Amino acid sequence: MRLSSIIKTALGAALISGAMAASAAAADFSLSFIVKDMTNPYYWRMGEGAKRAAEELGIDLNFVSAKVNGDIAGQIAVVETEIVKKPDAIVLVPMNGTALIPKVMEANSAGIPVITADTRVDKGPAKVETFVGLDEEQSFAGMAQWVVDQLGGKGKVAILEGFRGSSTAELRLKGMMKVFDANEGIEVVASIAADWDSEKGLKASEDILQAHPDVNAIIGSNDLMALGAVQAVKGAGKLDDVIIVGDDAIPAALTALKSGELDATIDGNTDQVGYEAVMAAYKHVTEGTELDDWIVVPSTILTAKDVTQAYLDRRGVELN
Amino acid sequence: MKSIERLKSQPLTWIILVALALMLTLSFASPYFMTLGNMTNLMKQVSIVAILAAGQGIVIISGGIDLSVGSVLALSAVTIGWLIEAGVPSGLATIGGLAVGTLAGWINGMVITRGRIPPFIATLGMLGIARGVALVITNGVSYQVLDPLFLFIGNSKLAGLPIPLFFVIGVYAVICVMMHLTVLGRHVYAIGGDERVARLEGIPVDRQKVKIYMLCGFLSGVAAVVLVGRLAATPPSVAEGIELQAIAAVIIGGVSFAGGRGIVATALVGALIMAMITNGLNILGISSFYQQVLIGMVIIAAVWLDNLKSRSG
Repeated sequence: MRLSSIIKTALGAALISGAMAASAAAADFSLSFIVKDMTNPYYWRMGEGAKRAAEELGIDLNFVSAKVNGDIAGQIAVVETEIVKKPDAIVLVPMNGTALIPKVMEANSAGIPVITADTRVDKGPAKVETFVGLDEEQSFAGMAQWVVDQLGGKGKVAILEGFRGSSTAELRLKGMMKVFDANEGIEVVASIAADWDSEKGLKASEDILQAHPDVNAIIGSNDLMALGAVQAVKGAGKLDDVIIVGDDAIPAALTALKSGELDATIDGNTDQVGYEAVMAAYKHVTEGTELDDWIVVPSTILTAKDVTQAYLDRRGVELN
Repeated sequence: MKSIERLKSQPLTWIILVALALMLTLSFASPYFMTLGNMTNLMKQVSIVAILAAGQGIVIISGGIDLSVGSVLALSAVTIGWLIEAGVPSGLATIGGLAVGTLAGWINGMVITRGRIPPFIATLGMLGIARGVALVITNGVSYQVLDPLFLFIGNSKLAGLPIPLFFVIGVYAVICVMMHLTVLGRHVYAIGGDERVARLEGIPVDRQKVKIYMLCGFLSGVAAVVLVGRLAATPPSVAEGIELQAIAAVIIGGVSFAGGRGIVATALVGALIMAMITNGLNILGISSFYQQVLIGMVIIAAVWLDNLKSRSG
């Protein structure tokens, strides 16, 4: 899905829900939105989406997090505090899929519906109304298809994988391989785990360029590794010959997109995740809507032309 | 005959033979391995771990350990990126990065000597602190460094050789002179051999230890300069776990973990062996799972060989 179509959908949704908010008595609806780290740009953006939804609905939004990402005990304490406040619903981005299960159960027994966003809690005794988030596999299948299209269905590609054994890395790889395997003209000449790290991505790409000097595309499973690949390809003087793509749309990647060094990256649209999560929570509580197990928020493939000032403003990102 | 005996007892001889055997194997296994382009790559790829391993080697010979080198490397790199972003000239930014590395080393040294905290724990603390500070000052964001000085370090060649190699040669030349021709070098061996005896001999053990950790921190800063050149960016999360590679390089090189024994230069060969394994297996398209297994086996084999030698000798 292109950026423009995303904006259209978002606008459409905004209009519909705006009308809805006017009709529903929502003044005394309160929602707790608990993320991993609200100072992190990734979750800040999710918060922006959540706030937009809350304004449209005219509800009370409490956007909170622990002090630092990784402080699981801190997040547990935050959830406990929020439960005491008796909100009408909780949206949770769990730091850890297992450790937060007891807290979700606590909310369950207090009669507060819980929705997870971005990260899941493990299957088990905890009752979660729905999960709002990206489909990593589908997302990377989309990126792989984009690369195949750019190559005209024929060429040699190399993959920089994330940490082997991490579920995210596996899903991303699976999505890509499904598309590459289905295209006979595409040959995957190397698939190396570079552990999400740019230095390892650089080294692996240098090795790939040695063993396969005629490689046509390098796909990083995240932007940091893709930016490492940019350095390697630049060093080999092949920036014009090799397509390089990444994922996450981090600011450094946006700069590289603009300068033409990186060809594409995936934007996970976390603001849309925040927006959809709030909307789903509201509808479920006030209208008793049955929610699907998974509300998929589609990702967007960004290229140089998508990095407009309007886009950067919406992300709250400044490039120099 | 006697000279051959002496050569056999040299730890450097053994480790170079192992490296050559590995090189030969890999060049038979893949036609791409023994090419000029790949050798240039290998020199660039080994540079950062090799520089860190030089500092680590000194620390280990002195009977200590420094777990913080990777985090200090990241902190120095981030400092350089941050200063350049703020408009500071690249030369000054480099000095800033080196100073931050040295300062972190000084803190390690002071905590170990004045605070009487074991090196493992003191530097484990610094591992967290330096990485945390790097994340705090950047807010997790990676700065782009497109300064000509760093582009030169990362991408240029001199006499056909990549610039990072000259950093490695420079570092090892200075360290070899220091370890074998200066008082500080002699003290490093004495402290590592038996700290109590060193004190009785009147060696200012604490002062020298602080210097050793400062030197290790400074070398993390030097490695950061190369890293910034190579990546043209300073992600604060970069090179996590690289301290274990530096320690492994020192051990594979045959430096005794007990301290007081070994030659720092062997760490360079140790680093080269690990880089060759990764590079060679990448080129052969063998999964990184096996790379880890292989490097693990090499570490154990290196120490085992060392034990055999010292038992027979």
